[in-house]
Amino acid sequence: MSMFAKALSKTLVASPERQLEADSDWTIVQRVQSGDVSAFDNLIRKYRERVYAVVYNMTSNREDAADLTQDAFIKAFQSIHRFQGQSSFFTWLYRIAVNGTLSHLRKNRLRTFFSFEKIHDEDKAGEIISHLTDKRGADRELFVKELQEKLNEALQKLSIKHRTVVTLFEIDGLSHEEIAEVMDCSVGTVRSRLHYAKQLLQSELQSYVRT
Amino acid sequence: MSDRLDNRKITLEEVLRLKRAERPDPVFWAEFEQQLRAKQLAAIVERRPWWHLDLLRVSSGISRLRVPLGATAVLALTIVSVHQFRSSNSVSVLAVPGQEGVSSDEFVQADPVDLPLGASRSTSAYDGTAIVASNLPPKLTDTESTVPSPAAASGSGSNSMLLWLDEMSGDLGDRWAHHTSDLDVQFTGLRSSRLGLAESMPPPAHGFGSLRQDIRSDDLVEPLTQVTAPSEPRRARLAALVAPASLKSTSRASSPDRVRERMISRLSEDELYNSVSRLGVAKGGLRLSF
Repeated sequence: MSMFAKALSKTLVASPERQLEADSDWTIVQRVQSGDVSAFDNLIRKYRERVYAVVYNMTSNREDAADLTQDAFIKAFQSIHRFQGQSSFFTWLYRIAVNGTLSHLRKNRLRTFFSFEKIHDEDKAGEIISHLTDKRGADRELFVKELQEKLNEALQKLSIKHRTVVTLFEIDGLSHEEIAEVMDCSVGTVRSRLHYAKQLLQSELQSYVRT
Repeated sequence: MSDRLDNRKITLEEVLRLKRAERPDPVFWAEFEQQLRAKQLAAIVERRPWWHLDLLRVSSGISRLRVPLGATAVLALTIVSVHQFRSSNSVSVLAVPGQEGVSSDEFVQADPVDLPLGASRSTSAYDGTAIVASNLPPKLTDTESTVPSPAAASGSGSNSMLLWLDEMSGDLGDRWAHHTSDLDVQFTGLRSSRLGLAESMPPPAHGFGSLRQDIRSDDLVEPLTQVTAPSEPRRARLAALVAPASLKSTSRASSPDRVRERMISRLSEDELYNSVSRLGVAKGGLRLSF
């Protein structure tokens, strides 16, 4: 990585873990750029879940999410020779995926079909669900399904950009700066969008949320 | 559910974190990888059109040269605008020497051959620019024509020429400048040829040569003596205008007396018509109006 690119990526990548991740990604990218096409599979395996999760939470449709994630990886593969390490690879890949999803959502604004993934209610999610209900068995599953629908409905009531910010911050765990870079806007815009989106979600999910 | 909710506060962030638990099964990823591999192979095998690649290359080149290209465009725009401004200024400057052409044009229109001898003699140095220009040396003519004369300011033929030039300036500055310079060259050539012709003519008793000699002898006289009464130039100008027209309209056989008779008869007919129109019949009687 060139000195300039390294310095720039340091400013954009928040934590040291992300910096290490960016460095290892840059090494793989250089291998792909030099002709080692199979090295790109490492990047696919590393980021497919995260990219899929972002796209899925934006679209609330698993089939569309699968297609859009694949398209994002193909686009990244086709234009990887233009990637010069000025940002971290995952930010660049996220930008491709988010832009593709945004254009897809704009094209199909009036045609929205929901198809949800199953909630794996172990670990943290199981703990939260247990706090929300004391039901067991089929009733619990019914409750979880109802909660999932309410949650996705509330997210779909947000605008595309607000939904993207909430998805990237609350679900995927990106920082404000990273979201600003992915969405090509200022950090202030990200914060204001997040604040507005949370207010709307709070009113939509008030029967489940007790603050 | 409500009992549980009362026990512990659940935040919005925690509810949203449930979305992280929405994950596909491992079977999904196997299928996903197969589809992605097929798409990747298709992308590798698929040949892109040459223009697509060229466009990519051109766009990347342009994006790299964005700043120099913008600076060049601004510079070119500045040069063009300065050039335009200068050319418009030069046109406005050329309008002043245009008066020289005006006097020359007047010189062409008011041909000394057509002018009566008396008229040319009585024309002063201020008023009859054409006649004086035809007989004086070129240097004097140039000086006189570049300085706006009172005759030009009082709305003579040179003034109409200036108006014409002003109209032309509204259209095309460059063409105007070009035409003006052409006219200047032509008129200068014409003037020199006319002067040369006047110089080479033998001195007859009456005619062009004698006129030149008379004016030259007038130059030697005190300038105040050349100033004539205002009525005389006006009369001479009118006579100069009427003379060619009367020559063209009437035949050689018809004399000025005949023309005068015709005008008198026409006047008398008009008077008769007016007198008849005052008479009328009204209510079975004769009406006479004054």
